[in-house]
Amino acid sequence: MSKFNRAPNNPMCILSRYPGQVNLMKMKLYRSFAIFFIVALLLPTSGRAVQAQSVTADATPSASLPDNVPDYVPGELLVRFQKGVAPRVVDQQVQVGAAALDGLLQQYGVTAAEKIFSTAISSNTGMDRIYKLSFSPDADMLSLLSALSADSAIEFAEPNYLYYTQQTTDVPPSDRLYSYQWGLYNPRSASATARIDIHTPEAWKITTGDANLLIAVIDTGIDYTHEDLSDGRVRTDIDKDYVNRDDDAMDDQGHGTHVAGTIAAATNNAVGGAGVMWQAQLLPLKVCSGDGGCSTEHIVQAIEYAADNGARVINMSLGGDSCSQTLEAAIDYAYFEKGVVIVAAAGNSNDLVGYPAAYEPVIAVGAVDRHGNRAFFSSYGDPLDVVAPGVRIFSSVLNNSYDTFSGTSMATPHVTGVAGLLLSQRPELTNTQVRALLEQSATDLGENGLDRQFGYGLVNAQAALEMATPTDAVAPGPSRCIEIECGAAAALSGEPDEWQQLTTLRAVRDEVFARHPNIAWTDIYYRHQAEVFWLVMSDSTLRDNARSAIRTLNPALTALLRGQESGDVQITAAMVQQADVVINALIAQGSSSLRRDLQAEWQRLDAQRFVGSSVHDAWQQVAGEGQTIEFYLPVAAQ
Amino acid sequence: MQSLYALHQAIRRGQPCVAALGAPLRFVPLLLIMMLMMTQNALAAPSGVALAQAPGNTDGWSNFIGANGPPSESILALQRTADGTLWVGTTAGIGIRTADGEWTTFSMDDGLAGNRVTAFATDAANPHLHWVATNGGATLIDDGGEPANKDGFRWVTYGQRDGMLDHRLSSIAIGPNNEIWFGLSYITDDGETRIGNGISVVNTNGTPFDKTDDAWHSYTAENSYLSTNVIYKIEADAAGVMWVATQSGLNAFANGVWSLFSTEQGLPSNAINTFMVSGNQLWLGTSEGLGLLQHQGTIADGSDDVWIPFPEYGLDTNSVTALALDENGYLWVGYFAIEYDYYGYYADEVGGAVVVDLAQTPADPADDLYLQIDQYRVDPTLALETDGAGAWLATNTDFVHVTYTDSPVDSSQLTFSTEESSTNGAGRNVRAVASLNGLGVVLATDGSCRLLLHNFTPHNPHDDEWLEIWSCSASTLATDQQNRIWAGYDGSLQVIDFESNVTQILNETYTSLIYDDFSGLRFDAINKIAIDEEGRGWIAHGSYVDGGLTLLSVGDSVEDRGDDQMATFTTQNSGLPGVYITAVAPGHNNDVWVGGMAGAAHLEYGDSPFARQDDKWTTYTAQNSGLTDNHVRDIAVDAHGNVWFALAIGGVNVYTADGQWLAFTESDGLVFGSVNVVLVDQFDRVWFGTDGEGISLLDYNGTLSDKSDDLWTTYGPSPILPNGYVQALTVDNWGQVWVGNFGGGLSVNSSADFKHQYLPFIRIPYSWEYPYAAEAYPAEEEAALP
Repeated sequence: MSKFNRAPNNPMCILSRYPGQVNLMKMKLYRSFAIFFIVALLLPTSGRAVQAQSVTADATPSASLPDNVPDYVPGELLVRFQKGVAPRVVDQQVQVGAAALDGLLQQYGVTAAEKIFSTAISSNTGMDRIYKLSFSPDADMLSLLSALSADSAIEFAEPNYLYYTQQTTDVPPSDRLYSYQWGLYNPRSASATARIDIHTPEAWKITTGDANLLIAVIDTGIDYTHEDLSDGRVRTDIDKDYVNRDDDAMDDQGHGTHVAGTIAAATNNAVGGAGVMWQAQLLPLKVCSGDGGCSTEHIVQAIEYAADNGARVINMSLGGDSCSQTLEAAIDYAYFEKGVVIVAAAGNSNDLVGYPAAYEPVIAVGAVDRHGNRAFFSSYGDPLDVVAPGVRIFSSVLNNSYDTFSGTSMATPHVTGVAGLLLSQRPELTNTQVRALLEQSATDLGENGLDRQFGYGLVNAQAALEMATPTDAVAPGPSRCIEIECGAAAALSGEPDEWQQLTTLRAVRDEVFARHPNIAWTDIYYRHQAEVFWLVMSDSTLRDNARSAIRTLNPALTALLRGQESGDVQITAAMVQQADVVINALIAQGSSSLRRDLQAEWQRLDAQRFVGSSVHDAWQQVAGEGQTIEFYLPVAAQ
Repeated sequence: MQSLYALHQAIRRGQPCVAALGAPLRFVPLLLIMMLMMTQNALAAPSGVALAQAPGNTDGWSNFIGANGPPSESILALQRTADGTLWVGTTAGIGIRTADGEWTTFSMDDGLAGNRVTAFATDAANPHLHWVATNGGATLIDDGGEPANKDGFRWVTYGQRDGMLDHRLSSIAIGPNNEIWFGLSYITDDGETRIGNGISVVNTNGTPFDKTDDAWHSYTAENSYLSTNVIYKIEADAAGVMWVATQSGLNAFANGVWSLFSTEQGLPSNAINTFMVSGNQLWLGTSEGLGLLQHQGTIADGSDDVWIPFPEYGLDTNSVTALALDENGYLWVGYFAIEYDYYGYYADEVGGAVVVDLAQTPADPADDLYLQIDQYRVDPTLALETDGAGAWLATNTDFVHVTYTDSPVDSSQLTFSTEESSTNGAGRNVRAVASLNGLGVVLATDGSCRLLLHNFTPHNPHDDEWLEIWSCSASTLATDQQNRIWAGYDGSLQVIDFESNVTQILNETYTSLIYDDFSGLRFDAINKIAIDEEGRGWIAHGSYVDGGLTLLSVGDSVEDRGDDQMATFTTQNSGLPGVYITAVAPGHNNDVWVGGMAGAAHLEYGDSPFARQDDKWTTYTAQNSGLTDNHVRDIAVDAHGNVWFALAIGGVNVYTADGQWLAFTESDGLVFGSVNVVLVDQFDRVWFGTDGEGISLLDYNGTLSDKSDDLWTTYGPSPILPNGYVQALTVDNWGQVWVGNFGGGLSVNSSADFKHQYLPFIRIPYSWEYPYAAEAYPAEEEAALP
């Protein structure tokens, strides 16, 4: 069969229903996030429980996407029309002259159709009938794809796939020192699955940075003449030297240059080392003198200046034991008024985290060595957020040289660079969201979960970027939350009685969810729990609403779990109202995939109709008569 | 000449308290400084955390833990439990001393909430449960009945995330209903100002390891009748009254009601540093003396209270900081205060300890007998705890155990012993190590110089002695043929004639001479010191902006500057490859090799290195020679004249005696291509200390250019070496290789069997006269070295 004349229902490309499905299917069962308990209660089966559901059940082969190339451009489809069918645009609407197809195109808002190939191409090849249809990125592309594929006027329909140059995927950067920069890539790590580095090779497949993103380095200055920093990335037009009171923040000590190199040295240029960001703008603000002293006055002035001049991230590899209200005020201004991400070193005293790292808005960074051990000097305690490589870190220094430094100073720019990558990929992220992503995607070290020696763990650029890109193109990574308390802490404030509700939620998840694997809400849980988690973690209003919803729904959850033993608990209007608020907030803030799934299921459920019904009656209605309903008490915690 | 060791022992026997050497490594209040840890700079203060010893004697390796003692000399709290275990709270965590004298440490590394430990409270009903107050919250430790086995501990921390108002604790107590009271107060960087946040109380509902059922509430000066938020101490009496010593009086909480006692009622001072409950009596230690309150059990009714002031006992302060009654009813009182000069600046710490015979009439001081404990033996006292017929006193310099036979107020019956802090051990960041031939090794670690006398048994730490060399705080060092210690700093150099000044060093009266810019030392940061065969010191200086090489000859006498000679080599007057010189190694033919960040250079200086006119310099870079990278970290010249270069990138180069360049990389067997130090031992084996992956040992079997017969041995991180970051190497005259680790303390590789091979008449350990090493073993035994 000629590759130019393929049968319409037997295309060369076989597609699956959901892009990136292979990633989803590899996700192990995670402890649930609280929101899904709400979803689980009010949309248990949605009429689909009677059918064994799988994520591919509704898909025809021609309307599915390959699981090895998940990326495509949203809002676009490539379509080859049958001979004699040509689209045209009438009143901003694409039409072909066939009522059914025109109606379909109108329904999905297809407003443009462009020929892909040049008009000179021969019609014998069929390439002249291939068009790019454009529509709103918010439209349900997969449904449109499915419908088009089934239309007789269409020879084939497929997404506008994305492919990537090999240089940014598997080939390491050409920088001479890269193989010694264990913080970026450490193949010597004892475990291949738990590499002790920040996973930049994988992250760079997603983004290598943004040449327009401004990172402020409040330090000893930056040697902007250094061969690895001299390509204009250092903003010498707006730099400030507060020590010498001029506008030339040339580094006279070396520390700031080393920090800057870690953040964003020119990368893949066969010179020096690699930066976490291959491209960025660095704003040097010299507040520290040659002997390392940095006054509060200068630091706060630099913070204000950075915030007022467009810096998205501030790196402060400095600190002390003194809690300054002036410094705190400057940080509050930059964080709350200007939305800047602020990263600071935890300290090198092997004692409690110092300031400014200990201030609440600041991401406090500790240091680990290449073996994943906490560096012997790295300060720790409750304010510690994450750790990063900080022992014997190669980077640029004065006199066009390179050397290894150690300290939480060196760990901090690793985190700053990852924050920069996040903002490069998703510029609309708030500083709160960036922080939540860094924390929740970190590789857990030490005790399970948040601990005082490693915080949330070793910052992981790959996981952070994947978690931050919850579109249909890239599935969210697995949540790092292992314990229910980790995730539900986002929704609950930790008041004593609410911990009991968590126990109930966990039991519902373990005992009810697990027994109904092939229905819509289970699918939603598998696909979206990581995204929902970080949405709630980063939005205080959503978090408050979730807390209220859990409180309100707890009796119903308990009833669902305990079966007849719990008595006849009624579903109230307040329960439905609380759930409705949360779900609508998720729909508004979530990815198109999450929005689509929640909207569809919530609408199908029509939860209002269950107000006044007992939990058991409601369950019977949606599950269908005759369904075996198994409930039992959870095993008591050991 | 009296042997050094015997002299040392004699001094120790005469003045046991002097054995605790070195000034207290005080916490230095920090300004806003950079979080810089450059490889060439030492840390400011030691962590005092003991290292885990490698399991057994792995391949002849041992790693050193500190001396068997508390983790820091700065002791803030003491508690003795019924089983005789002493819990010692320091600024570097907890030291746990069992009744048989063995120590275990527990710090933030192990899970403690904070390293600054301020108070203990042991659950009387469950004596294996210990609440610990720290500057980072509280930790409950369940020692499982084995306080010496911290691996068996179960612990949980409490902090602000759980409900505490603040994490900086001054005190802790168990209430009558098993609720835990946390006093929230701390001292600021100036060492005096106290900030308070009141009291937080948690009801754990009998399940302290399960926080889900905890209930918290707090008392502050704003929400209750607590007199102030600055809390010094909290303790419950047998009647269930919670006594709270504060900066503003004594508070009592009983039946939900707060009562306040102040100077108006009879307190010697409202600033109550400590107190002790004894039945219906409260012993009060205030900033203006000792007092006793007999409240008759009626807290709210002050009319029947009896207040008994106690006299001053002749010390230079009346500020009481510690109190305890021993089993014989004697009262031990510790005093401490900071004196200021006329202008209000810090002058000194004053105080001491007193023991009082109350004559069984505590309310009648008139019949008391008392003794000021010898102030040469007991310094200003911060904490104390009784122990049978005696007491442990934590002073500002020592940790002293005082015992007596019949009466402690008879000075002739007192005996003293001192527990040394484990900070006299190897420390964490061993920047340099050098062999003091015949004695042991000297380390530059955590900013100080320490001497390890391993008593010929490096694998047996129990007979080790650690000495901190007074007034030495080097970042790099070397030793010369006269056992003088050359100590380098950022901007100055010390040459310490250790043997001639050992008495002063042990007495902490030694003041070494400094070479700095006033004495002609041109450059600042000293990166490396090497001693040539004539005993001259070659000093590698430099940073990114300035540096060079200094040659110093101190002549026969360190103290006599008149016979000194000094020469300075710069990039202008020599062939130095750059300003940042990191390595120097004398050769065997009136020559010296130097290396830095811009390559290497060879100086042939003719008859005298001070006569510069005949100097011949040859520079080697990656551009003009077989040197594969310009960043040279270390150089070693072996007995054959081969020059070994440790490179920051790319492994190791060697410039052979016949002028060939060879390279050794990971493909040849080197464990890691970033090498910090290189050493050639007596057996022509080459040791490479790498930057994170341990040590590679090369035996090239005498054929450098023939790699086929090379034998490589790797000593990697854990369990052999602590972490693989090797930054110092030296070999002593017995062939033992000593390793300084970045963050991993000191390690030694030794297969020497002293008892059987070298010293058949050894007597262990203290009473024998110890000859110098050169005389210790005859030549025929030297040949028997492995």
